[in-house]
Amino acid sequence: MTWLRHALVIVGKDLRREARARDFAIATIVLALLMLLTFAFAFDVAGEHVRRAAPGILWATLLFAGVLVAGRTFAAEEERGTLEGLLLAPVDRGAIYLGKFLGMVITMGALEALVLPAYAAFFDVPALAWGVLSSVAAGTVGFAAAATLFGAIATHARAREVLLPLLLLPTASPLVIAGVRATDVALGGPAVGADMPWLQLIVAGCVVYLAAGLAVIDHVLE
Amino acid sequence: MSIETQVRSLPGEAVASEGHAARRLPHPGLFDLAVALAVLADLYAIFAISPAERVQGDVFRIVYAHVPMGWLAYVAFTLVFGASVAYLWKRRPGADYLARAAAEVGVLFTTLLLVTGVLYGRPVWGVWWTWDARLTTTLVLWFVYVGYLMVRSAIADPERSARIGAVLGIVAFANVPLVQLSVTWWRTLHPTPSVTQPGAMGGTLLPILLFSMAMFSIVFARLVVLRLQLVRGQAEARQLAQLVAERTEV
Repeated sequence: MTWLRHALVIVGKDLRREARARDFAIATIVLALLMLLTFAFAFDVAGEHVRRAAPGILWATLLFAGVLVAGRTFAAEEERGTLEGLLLAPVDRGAIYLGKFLGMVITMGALEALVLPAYAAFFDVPALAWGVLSSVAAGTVGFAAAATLFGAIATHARAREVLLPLLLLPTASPLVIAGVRATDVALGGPAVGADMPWLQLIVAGCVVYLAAGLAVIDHVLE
Repeated sequence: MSIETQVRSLPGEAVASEGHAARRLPHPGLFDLAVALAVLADLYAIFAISPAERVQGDVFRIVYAHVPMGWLAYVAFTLVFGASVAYLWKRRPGADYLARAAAEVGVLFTTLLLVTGVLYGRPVWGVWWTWDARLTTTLVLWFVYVGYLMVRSAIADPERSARIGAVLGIVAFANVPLVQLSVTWWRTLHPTPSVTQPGAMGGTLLPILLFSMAMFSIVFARLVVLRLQLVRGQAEARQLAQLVAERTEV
């Protein structure tokens, strides 16, 4: 159980850091809200248009906010030179991965708790329906699992700010497709492939990314 | 003493063994000749032996290049995966060179696959591009392996680049089934694989397609070996430069 305790210590450390220096968290939240605004301009949202575009707007917003949060996970350590300290500590690499992953899930969850009501209000959709919440929650877990791994991969690389989304967006495409479809079904749309088990696909993605992350993290953080 | 003689007298065992490995590869002259013959033979088969297709006409000839490139792209990414696993397991630089070479050729073939697909799609389907399952999957794969190559070149330390590359090569490959499944559920228009279905391909079509596949495989193998030699040579040059720097400092 020391393994889990180490992970939780890292979670606590990361969340405390974000809570003390709030500027990054606030900027990310404002950016997510700004994206909702931009999408409202981009897709002339009125009447039936809203319903057609709404699922994609939610997922694109969360995806890009997620890329920012993912970049922060390891970059903050690298900037201060604390990554070496973390790696020198007698802590299993898997625990570091799990800690960073849980921290990102919690951060994204807090962001979503603010974005979802705003989204529901702006686009007049029942965004707090069970189907939406479950797919967003599962999608967040899967995204964070992949993002934590790629965040670790991108450290020490040139132009890592650009590399991270470059790796993350194509990899996360199954989550985005399934998430948008599941949300579409939940919002009562005439979804393409409404009979497909989209939520199960997202959960499968969570399992694959988490297993892959835990399996290879020892080789990434050396 | 000139740098050349200094290098000759170096005790670097790693360098020597690398040199031997490079010499074990097939003789480049014969290999190049085989590639030239393969290209000519394939062009002859595609343009002279194969008749124009009844409905699609001459455009159909693109398929003889398109399908082999699709298969070989998958072969390339499977090679990247296998070599990546081998690298993390044994940590031999050779496995990493193979992964890198196969990834580059894989990206090249995927690019050509997409281009020939677009050229074929316009006259046959009436559109350049359509967001159908196969096209979308291929495009996502293209992005994934372009990302792989960019990460490889963005990490300066060769050992780290190899390690991170191996991790990416494995994760990218593990993700393929998920991409495939999600995109297939999303939409489908591309013809399903028909080589294994009896009666789907009559006349000269199947033999020429298989012949073209064999010829493209020769070109593919040559490109992978060429890249392999180049990556090896680069590593060798880097090691030599390092040794020379160490010597001249003293």
